[in-house]
Amino acid sequence: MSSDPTTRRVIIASCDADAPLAREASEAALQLGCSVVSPDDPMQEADLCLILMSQNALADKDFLSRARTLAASAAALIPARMDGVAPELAGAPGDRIREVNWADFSSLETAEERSKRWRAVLSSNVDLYDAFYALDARASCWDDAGRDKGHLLVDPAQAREAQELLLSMRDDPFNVPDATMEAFVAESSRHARRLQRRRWFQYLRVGAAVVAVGAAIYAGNALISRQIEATRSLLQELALSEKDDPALFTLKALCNADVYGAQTDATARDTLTGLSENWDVARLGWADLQEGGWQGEAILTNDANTCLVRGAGGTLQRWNPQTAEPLSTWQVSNGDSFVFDATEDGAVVAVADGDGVALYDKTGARTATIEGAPASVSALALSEDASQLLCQSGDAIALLELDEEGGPSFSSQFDEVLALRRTERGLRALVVAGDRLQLIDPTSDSSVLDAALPEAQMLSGAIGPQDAVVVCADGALLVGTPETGLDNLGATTYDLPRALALGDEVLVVATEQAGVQVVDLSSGAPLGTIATSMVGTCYLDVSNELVASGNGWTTTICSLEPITPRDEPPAGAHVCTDLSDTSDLVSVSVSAGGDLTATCEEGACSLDASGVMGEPTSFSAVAAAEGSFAAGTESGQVVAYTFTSAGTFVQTRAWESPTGEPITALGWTDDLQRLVVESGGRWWTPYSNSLALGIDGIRDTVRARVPAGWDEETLSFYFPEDFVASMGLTASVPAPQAK
Amino acid sequence: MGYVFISYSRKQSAIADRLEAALSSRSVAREPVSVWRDVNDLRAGESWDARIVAAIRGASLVVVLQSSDWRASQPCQKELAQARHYRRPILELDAAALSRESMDAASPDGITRGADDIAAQLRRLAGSSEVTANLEVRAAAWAEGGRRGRDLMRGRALSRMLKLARSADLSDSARLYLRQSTRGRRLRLLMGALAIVAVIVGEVALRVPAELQRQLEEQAVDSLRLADATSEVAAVVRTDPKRARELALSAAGDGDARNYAALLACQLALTTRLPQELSDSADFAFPDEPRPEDAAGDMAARAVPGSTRIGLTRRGQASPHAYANPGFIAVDLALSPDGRRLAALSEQGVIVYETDRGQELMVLGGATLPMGSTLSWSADGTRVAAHAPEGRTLVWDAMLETSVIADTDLWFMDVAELGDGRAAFLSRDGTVAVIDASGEKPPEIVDVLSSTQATSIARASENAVYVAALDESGDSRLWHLDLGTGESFTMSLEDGYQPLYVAASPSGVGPVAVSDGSTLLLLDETSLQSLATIETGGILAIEVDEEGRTFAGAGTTLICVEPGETSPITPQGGVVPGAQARSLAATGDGTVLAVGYGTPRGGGSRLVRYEEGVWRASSGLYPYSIPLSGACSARASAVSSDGSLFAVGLSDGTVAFLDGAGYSSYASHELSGEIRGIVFAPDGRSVVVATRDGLIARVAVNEEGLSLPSLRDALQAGVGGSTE
Repeated sequence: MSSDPTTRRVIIASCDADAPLAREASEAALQLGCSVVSPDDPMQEADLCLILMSQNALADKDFLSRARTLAASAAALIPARMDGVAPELAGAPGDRIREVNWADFSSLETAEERSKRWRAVLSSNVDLYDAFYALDARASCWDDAGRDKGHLLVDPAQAREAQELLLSMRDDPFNVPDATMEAFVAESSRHARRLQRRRWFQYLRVGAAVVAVGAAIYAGNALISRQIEATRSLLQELALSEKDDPALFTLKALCNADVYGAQTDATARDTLTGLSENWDVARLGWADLQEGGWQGEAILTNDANTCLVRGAGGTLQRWNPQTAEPLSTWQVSNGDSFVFDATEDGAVVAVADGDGVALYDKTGARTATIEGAPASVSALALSEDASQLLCQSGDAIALLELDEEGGPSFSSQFDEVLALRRTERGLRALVVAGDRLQLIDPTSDSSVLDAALPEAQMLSGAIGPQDAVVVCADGALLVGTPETGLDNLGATTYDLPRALALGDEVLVVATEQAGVQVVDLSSGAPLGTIATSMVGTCYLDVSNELVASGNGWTTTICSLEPITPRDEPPAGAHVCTDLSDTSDLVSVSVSAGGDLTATCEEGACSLDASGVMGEPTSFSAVAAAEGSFAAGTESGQVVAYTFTSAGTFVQTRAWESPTGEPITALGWTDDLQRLVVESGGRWWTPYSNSLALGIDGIRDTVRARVPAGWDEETLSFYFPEDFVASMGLTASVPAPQAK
Repeated sequence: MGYVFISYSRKQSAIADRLEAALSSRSVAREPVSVWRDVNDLRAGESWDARIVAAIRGASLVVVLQSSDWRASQPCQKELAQARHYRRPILELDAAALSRESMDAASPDGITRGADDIAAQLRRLAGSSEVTANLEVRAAAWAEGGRRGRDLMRGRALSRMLKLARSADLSDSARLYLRQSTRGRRLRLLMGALAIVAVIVGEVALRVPAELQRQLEEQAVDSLRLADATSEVAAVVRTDPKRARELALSAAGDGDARNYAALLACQLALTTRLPQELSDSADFAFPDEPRPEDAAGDMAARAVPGSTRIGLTRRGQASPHAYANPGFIAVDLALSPDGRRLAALSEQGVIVYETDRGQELMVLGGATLPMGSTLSWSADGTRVAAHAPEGRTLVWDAMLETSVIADTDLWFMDVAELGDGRAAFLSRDGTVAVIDASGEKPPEIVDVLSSTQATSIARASENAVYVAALDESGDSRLWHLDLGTGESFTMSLEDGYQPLYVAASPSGVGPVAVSDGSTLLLLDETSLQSLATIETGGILAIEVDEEGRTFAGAGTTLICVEPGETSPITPQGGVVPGAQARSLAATGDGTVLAVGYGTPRGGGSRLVRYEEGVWRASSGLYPYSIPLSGACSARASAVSSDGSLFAVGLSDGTVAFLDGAGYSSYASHELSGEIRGIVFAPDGRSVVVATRDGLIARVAVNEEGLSLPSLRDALQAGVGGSTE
């Protein structure tokens, strides 16, 4: 109901006998500005219904029901007692008319008095009284409690409503807000606004705190992750010796410098140190390893374009050993255990397992099953034309003519069979007969080499491509050829090598104690350690300057080319044999007093050989190329320097001749990537690192040497994705499913 | 001030009027007594019941004017019921007594007495009723308003109410209101606390990353600085060891004692030994002039003309079996008296090589020696001296931490601690060398088993061992050998089972473990009946700790069988492809060190611990913590009796020590030849090792090598000395 009387609609219910009184009420309403609704219009709605109750009204049988109907359509109801009629007579308990308080007109004698009362009744805000009383009660509570804030309204909307209520009730004839209520509402309004502000501020604070916490955690995580990554990288770099995995070591140093900005002298030195080592060429089988696979023996074909590897589940895998690309997988056996050999080009593969011996062509198709092969073949050698197959079974060997039916054309029992191999001169078996070591040519049934063996409890041996043999007798390495007989190689390893393999000029020996070492056959000098990232190498094969090292899980391909000598310098190499040399940018010379001086535009470099090497020696060769110079000494050491943009010479490489012989000539390959060094009449080509200066130079040099087929886990663990992509690091790919 | 509600029958309206009038002239606590009466306070149109109930609820006192009419009136009875429901104080007055007039001027009339009684009652209530009335009013408003949080009581008003509520009689709704108000307050407090926590966490979250980043940056810078310094130390340590020590000292500073890089830099700087000036050189026999060749024992060394290499040739052989290559033309050569070591002299010092493989053992530097200087070994082979032409003699300790106990022709394979301070070293031919682990006495040789290949030994009792060895027929057997009487017998195992490895608990508790390389058999320690058969494959090492746990290196991982169990547990940890455990050392408290292939270079060393119900593996010997050792494998390990230190024998003769926490390690490299057996002396201050080449030696534990402060002291001493 509107609190403004001028907008109220009033309906007046009276009996016929009270019509004059109703008129008085109506007039009073009209005087107040109310609109009076006719009770005869059932469609009209009213704000207030006045019911004139009297004895006459009660005597009217229909009156009460009519009055109730009219009251139901009004928002508020005020019965008016016009005479001594009692409310209890106005219906049963609970009746709306009976249950509300009646305005008492019974004692008013004159029309004027009644009119005044009507005006008061009509001006009352009866529908607001409940709210008013509630507010009054609460205000009283507040006042009684010493105006404690705990009693104030806390909701701004509630406080606003209270204000409006007070405004509405200000002109009420019966209930006018007192000062306490006014003060309560005013104080409540302030308090509610204050609380609201405080609440909003709290919300803001909490929200800001939550956002700040989230942002801080996110940013912190990002920062910490990045920093931890950088720190971990640095610590990992420290933890990894270049001897373990020079490629990883160098890449980490580069990554630290390139990605994390850690360009220090140490990282620069570390990259040069790492680049001076022999890196793996490729890694095979890492993806299969993650899936539970493994790899056994590996054979490199002569063209070094294919690597055949025994895989899990009786499979034979073909890989590109340069790129770690898996080519195909054949199912060649029912079990894990089998031995195999291939022709030089890999066109024919012989496989022996518990079920016998079979031949396969280049596509993996089984082309023949060999009859008459001995049982339990433990090693095979296939002739180049695939017409003969040499088999080892226990301590016996047997030669099978594959073009002929029937049994072996040759078979013999020995005390021990050390190795089988197809050499350039035919099939060979290295055997022990009594106290003699024999290299057997089974085709002619003759001994190509027959030499006395030293007494030893443990023997192992390998055959080279040109009938050279190496025997390890309790650790002592002996080398023999048909021409020279058997003699100390000049190198000693441990009593039982895990694997031996012979190349044209080198012995590759794997021991659990010292890893995979390459030994110069002509001098016995150690040329270097390869496959340093691999633990427990037990399979080796050498072909065309590549070495396949396997540890029963994966296979690592390494190149011998940077560490083995050759008889001639590489084609296109610039070599100097004098003690002075000049390039477009650098001049280098050794004075009569033995001091070396190098100059390059504004920069100069002076060295004395003893100072460089730490020991008394003298320079024996120098060379210059572009912005670099190199110097070699009588004691077989070489140092290489490059002139940098900072105007100084920086040492990029230090190298020692494995044989300790003087350096007699020095130079570079045409691309400056390798030094060309003559020592002891042979030529070595160690990495020069001459271009590996500055981030760009290091990056380019590293990119050209990174191994193929990293394991994905290592890549993702150590390097950011962008770095992996920019450096062309390739993750290992699993071998295809067997056909 | 509250008010008084008067419940009366309308027929006693006059009395009520008079009573109201009488009360209006009275005051309580300086406030006039106010009265709520329907005739005054009930407006036309208002609902009787609701208004009356609200009035009773908020009344400080309900006065009942009792009369027969009041008792007969239903509304009056209802008012009384409401007053009781809301626990309002009720004062019953007899309407008839009130209506009595005064008998005389001195005595008050009934109305006055009634009003006095009401005022007195209000005073007695002392405002508490008013407060509870307020509470009832608030509770009702809260309930009628939909029980909204905003209508709950707060602040001091609530505290006051709560205090009062302990003794006051309140309606259930008022108590519920109070409970809810209390919960509301707690909720607000909680929210406030959460807001404070959020703000604090926000602050912390903002500051902690910054602090962490700062620390990490410092750490990174520190690591780089140390890496730089370590590189510099490595670059000069051979040629200028004093400078190397200065650099290491400078790099290590006085920082964190648990800094790997600092430890490494210091250890690295100490690898080149410094000499002492010798006033009396009588213990040394210097040649008259430098030698290009020397011979001692069955060894000859000869410089290769035109090369920096030195050929090493055994007696009876025509050509060298190995070369040493110092990288410079040696000024003089000297073989140790036993021919096992070669010293090559340069102007910067001496390099010592072992003569079996020509591998470098150590650098003796810190002196400048002119051409014409000569070398000599002391008679016991522990010191090397250089004599300069001008007469100065410098001497270095070549066996600072090592003393040879025996040089045998045995090929040692394994060792078993006997538990009484003795250890039994097993030779490949089945011979057992029993030594006092203190290394004070020569070994007692027990040559009873005649075998072509004995592989493993374990303690059976204080004076007996189990040995896995081939018998005459070439079958491998498990032998029981009494070291006191020399009696031996083979033990019955499964048919065809060929034991290669055997292990037993040093305490005698737990099973005897046997393996043929593919199967692990656990046997009862007394009856030797089989307790469990575990097929794993690839077993190269087994160990049983003091509590009876069995460990086995199986393939590239490690398994553990708890006491009483028959199936193994595989600890979590990285598998290193190709790396296989060749030796295990267990502390007895659930920690075991596994070493094997790839140790220490390729991570083939694992320290495994039982933590929080899980076996976890971590790196054991760190790849970079063994300066100047190129060893790729280890097959001997031991742990001190208190579990605080592991010792590992590496394949190049290095003995590495790793603290029990797996944090730091250091190495002693004074021996050559692969170490096959290692045991701690009872006092834990030294280890006794046996090599593949038949040497039994004692190596002192240098705990200073694990301590940065001690390393600093050692470096400081080196920097301070002068031999120039």
